This record gives sequence, structure tokens and C-alpha cells, in this order.
Amino acid sequence: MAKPVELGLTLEGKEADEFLKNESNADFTSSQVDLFREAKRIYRSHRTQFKF
Amino acid sequence: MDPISEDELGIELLSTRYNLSLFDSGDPELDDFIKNDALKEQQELLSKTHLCFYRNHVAGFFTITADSIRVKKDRLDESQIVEDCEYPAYPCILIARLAIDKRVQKRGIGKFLLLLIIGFALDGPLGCRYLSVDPKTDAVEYYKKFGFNFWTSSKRRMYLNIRDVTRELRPDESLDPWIKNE
Repeated sequence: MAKPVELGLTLEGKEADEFLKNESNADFTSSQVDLFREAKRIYRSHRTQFKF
Repeated sequence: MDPISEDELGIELLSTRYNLSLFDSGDPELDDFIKNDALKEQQELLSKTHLCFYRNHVAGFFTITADSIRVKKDRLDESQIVEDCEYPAYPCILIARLAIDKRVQKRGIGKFLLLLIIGFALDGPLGCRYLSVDPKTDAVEYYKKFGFNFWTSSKRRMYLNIRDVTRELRPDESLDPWIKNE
């Protein structure tokens, strides 16, 4: 059996502070923004194949 | 090797009808997962695995699961308070596994699958604040290209902030013909 993934991560203390500081400082390059646009297009093109 | 066009790729939810015995990503742990564990996890609704087909062969797969991130603080961050309601945990989609068969690696299938997942998080029917992943060491730089980063010095997990991505894309016009963009 493969190692199970860790769900429901809880961040405390220093980790919580770092997480909140860095999550609000996300900065994307123009090429990353282009990738995100491509991601939306790909999902819209293939969403009927995507089962959830 | 030439990149493979996305038009040549198909996506199917994992089921018993597919033969996975020949799949070989070069990573024994990932191969063992797809051959022995992925279907059991899916039947228990712990995760869902989608297969990617190229010329009727399984070229890759990804496994995702619903997750949350709880941030313990004495006082909540203002983004966790909406109209006086507190949200001490953030909804998240975890990319549990992603692998490509070594016969078609470096031909754009991994990028296609990762963008499909990002697109699902951005545009799908779930409220999802983050995408997260526990990458193999040699995949860290790859995920960084797509905006994922470690946000804690413990480097336990990489995150992509879907809220901020959505803000970046706000000027993007809707593809829905009945919605008029301002």
C-alpha cells in the first residue's frame, strides 16, 4: 500500500505566520499568468471528460 | 521528441476496464500506486484518479482529493473573516499524485495535466482557495514554473493561491456567450 497523503494539515505558530505572510505576497510573472489563462481554456475544452 | 498535441489526448476516470499493467513512469512508488492502490482509494472516495490516453495507451494519470488547511492563530487573518463569519480553515485541492509514462515523458503531457487541474480549480464548480502538492524533490522546480511555492520554512507542501490567480485573470473575458463582460 502506498503511503497515504497527509490531509487536513494544521499550521501552527511560526508555520502559520509564514503561511499567512507568504500567501498574501503571491506574485506571478506574465508567463505564469499566460499559463493560467491556458489552464482555463484547457479545462473548458475538456471539462466533459473530467468526473468528480 | 516533438510535443504531443492536446487534441491527441483523452481523459477518463479510472475504472476496472483499463489495463494498467504496462504503465511505467520510472518511479516504482507511483507505478505501484496506480496499479494497486488508486482504484481502492477511489472506491472509498478518498481520492479520484483520471487517466490520460494517447493512442489508446495510458500515457499518464493524476490523482486529486479535497483537502483543507487549518491555520491556528490567536487572531484570525482578515481574509479569514467574511461578514463577521470566521473561516479558520481554507478549502484546498491536493494534487496527490501525477505521473507520465516514461515512453512519452517530456512531450507536454505533464504540462497538459497540470494545467487541466489548475483550470479545474480556477473554473470548476468547487470553492477552492488553494491548490497544493507534495512534490518529489526533482519536481520542485517544475511546479515553481506554474506558480507553486513553499510558503513555510519547513517546506512540507507547495501551494498555489487560486484567489490571487483569479484576481490576475479578472480582465479575462468570459467564454460563456450569454454573459456580457463589462
